[in-house]
Amino acid sequence: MAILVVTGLVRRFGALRAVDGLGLSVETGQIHALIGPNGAGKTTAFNCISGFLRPTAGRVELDGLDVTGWPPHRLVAAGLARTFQVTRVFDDLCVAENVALGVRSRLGLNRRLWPGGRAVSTVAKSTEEILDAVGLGGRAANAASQLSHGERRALEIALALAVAPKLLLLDEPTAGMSAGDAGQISRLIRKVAHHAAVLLVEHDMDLVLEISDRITVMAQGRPIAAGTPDVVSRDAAVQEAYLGQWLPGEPSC
Amino acid sequence: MTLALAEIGRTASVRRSQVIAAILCAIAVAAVAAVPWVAKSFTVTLLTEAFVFAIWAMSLNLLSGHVGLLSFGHAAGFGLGGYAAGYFAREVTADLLASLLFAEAVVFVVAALAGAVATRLSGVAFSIVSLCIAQVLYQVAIAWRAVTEGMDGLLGVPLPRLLGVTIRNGAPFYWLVAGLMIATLGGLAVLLKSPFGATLRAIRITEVRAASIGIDVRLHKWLAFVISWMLAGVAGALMVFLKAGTTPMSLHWTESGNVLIMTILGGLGTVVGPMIGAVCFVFLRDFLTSAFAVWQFVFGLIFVILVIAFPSGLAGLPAQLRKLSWRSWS
Amino acid sequence: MAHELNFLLVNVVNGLVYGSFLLLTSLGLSLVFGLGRVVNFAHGAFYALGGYVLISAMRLGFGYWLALAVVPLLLTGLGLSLEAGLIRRLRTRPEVDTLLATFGLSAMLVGGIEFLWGTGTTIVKPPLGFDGIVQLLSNDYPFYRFVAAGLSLSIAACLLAIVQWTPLGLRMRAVADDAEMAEAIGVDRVGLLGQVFGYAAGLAGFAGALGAPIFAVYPEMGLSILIDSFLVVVLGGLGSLKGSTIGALVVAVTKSIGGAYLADWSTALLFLIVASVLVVRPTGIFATGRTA
Repeated sequence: MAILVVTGLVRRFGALRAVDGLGLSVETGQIHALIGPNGAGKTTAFNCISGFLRPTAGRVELDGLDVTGWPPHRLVAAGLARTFQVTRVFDDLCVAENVALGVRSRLGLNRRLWPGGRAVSTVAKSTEEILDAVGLGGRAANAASQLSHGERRALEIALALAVAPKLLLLDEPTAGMSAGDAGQISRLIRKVAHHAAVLLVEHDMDLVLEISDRITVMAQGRPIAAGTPDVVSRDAAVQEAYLGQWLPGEPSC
Repeated sequence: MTLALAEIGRTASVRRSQVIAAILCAIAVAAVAAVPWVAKSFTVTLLTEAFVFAIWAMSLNLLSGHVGLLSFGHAAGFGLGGYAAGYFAREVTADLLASLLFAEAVVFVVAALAGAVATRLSGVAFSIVSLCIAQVLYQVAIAWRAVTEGMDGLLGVPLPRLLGVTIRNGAPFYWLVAGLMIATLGGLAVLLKSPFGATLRAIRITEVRAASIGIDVRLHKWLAFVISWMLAGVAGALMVFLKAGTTPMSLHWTESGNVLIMTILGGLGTVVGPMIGAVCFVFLRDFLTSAFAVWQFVFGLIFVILVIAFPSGLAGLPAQLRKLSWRSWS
Repeated sequence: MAHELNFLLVNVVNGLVYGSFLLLTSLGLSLVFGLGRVVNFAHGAFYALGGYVLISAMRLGFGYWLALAVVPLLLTGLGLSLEAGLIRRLRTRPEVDTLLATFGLSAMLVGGIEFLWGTGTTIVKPPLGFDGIVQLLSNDYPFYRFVAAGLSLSIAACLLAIVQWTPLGLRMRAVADDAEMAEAIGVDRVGLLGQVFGYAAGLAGFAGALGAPIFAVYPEMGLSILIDSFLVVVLGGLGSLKGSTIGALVVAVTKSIGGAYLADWSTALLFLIVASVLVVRPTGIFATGRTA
């Protein structure tokens, strides 16, 4: 059963069609990668799906529900979570508090006026579990601003996990990471995919080919190829779009 | 779990520091209560005024310090609450609770509407619109002569009555205001430590991230806006009873500037800061009072110096909030 | 019926006259914001100072037009000094700090005005030769208003032309568009902001002086035009000159007609209009994409 179904997504900025008819679907347990050269419209598409931009046309369905044009916080309640290309975490707060915010949000405790009670330990326990899952258990008490780049990317993912999403949108999760860190993140993504559907935008081709179940390639706002990694990497149109910049097995620069 | 064990160990020291804090609070409250017996009546009146301002400054702090929506028109809620309470007390009954209830109802309606518009904005746009809202209310106060008596102001507001007892100026009124101020302080302290407070702070840090973990940013901004107006309205009502009247000047942009300077002076984003700032401000102003012209110049100068002298940025949060971890409220 | 039409016409014309002054102040405000993301609260004080410098110059014996010419020179100088001494220091701080500092500056300037010139209102008579009356339908209308409005509009047009067609304007637009990029290709962003801040101050002061025979001179005169300018800029979209032009028209005419028919309630109407626009488009009509 597909968790995310995108049909005919269009987003125009004046005369520019940043996204021009994108369609894809992702099922629980699947990792679907959205790739393409710079300016292909991947981030715009992401923003449309995650509620930060209103689509000009098209339809976004989340677990059967039409969520086209819904604002971000409603999408989260419906089971969508995303990370950002440029890390956005709550810098002034400690790591645990960052995740706790997400957990509280999921449990509907945002507007609670008094601390204390059974809810507190539930939140604390959930927070611990999530931090352990992403490998930040030992850094719970540190301010988010003190984390290394790789740790901040992991925190981003932890924030997304805190809301127990059915669909996880990852925007260049390994951007700026060393190979070691990137490997850890890819393992984490695979773990997460057991319980959710994952749609990710990435430039790291090795990672994409390694973990994706499906790939959609975009160029100039349109999908030019879609399918399994094998099929896509052999597609002539894809190779042309990337100007022969990479071939399967070769490192991408 | 290592965290749980550490927490048990921490409980003892947390409890100890909580006891110390409680004792200090008790001493402070006692000191505040004792003032009328040890100070001149003029000082008591001045301190009463300072405490009213403290409530007002705390309300601004909620909106501007914690949510980060810098308001240049916070005289709006203050003046509006004052006019509503004063009018009610003079025309209907001087019962304190009834007047406050009426004033709060009026403030709520206006704040809800104004807030619905203002909270669509952030940053600079919000600041500008907040000033505009206050200006509009200022104009209404001048224009609606039938109710507000225009530039002459609303005069002859009687002393308030609480449960049938008239609260006279001097010590009784001081205790009333001091009590309300302490209640506000306590209430806000609890609110800011609660999940609601954490949500507001998250919105201040990054709205985008807050929205993408499911926080309804607009709603929370609106709630903070309305709550801060209503609290300002209480302060305004108290001031009108203290001065037995009000004029449109209570809605003037310089008043908005005053409360802003008080809050910043004391520490934007802290809990007790606004109160300290309000007290310092009132006594400083009393000390410097001469021709209005000179005062405005000095006021502006102090403002500018404050802005420059805070290198880490005035509207940036003090390091205290870094220490706010999930442990502190569990 | 003719009487009503007359009344309406006079108020529309009044609105357009005020609008031409509002346009000058709004453009200045918008330019400074677009360049350096500085919201200058003291802009209204510059406007007021223009009127007062005019009065003092005239008292010293300068003729009206000469005094008028002196105003932008002095005000630009003041603007340049304040930018270099105060605003520049806060360049790397959060935007709100500049907002707060200019707020304080405004209080200082208005306080200074009251100290130096007193708190009363001063009437300035239109210069000889331009103080006549013309017929507007069947109304007597001061000739000077047309002159002043015409002059304001010409200057506004020159300003827009400068921004659109000169190298200076090109640098300004580049910085407004993408400040980092502009700096990377060698535009002196900091110096440019300093210059433009100075010119905007001079422009505001000039508007205040030019309008003195129409609107009189009093210490708080800057505040009301500042509020209106804020409304214009927020309505038209922060940083958009086209938006400011249209916004100035809308605000001025609404205020004038509203003031005539609704008296003191007109400001409330104005805010309602701005609020309605913001509800539909929170970033203003012609926003450049920046919300705050």
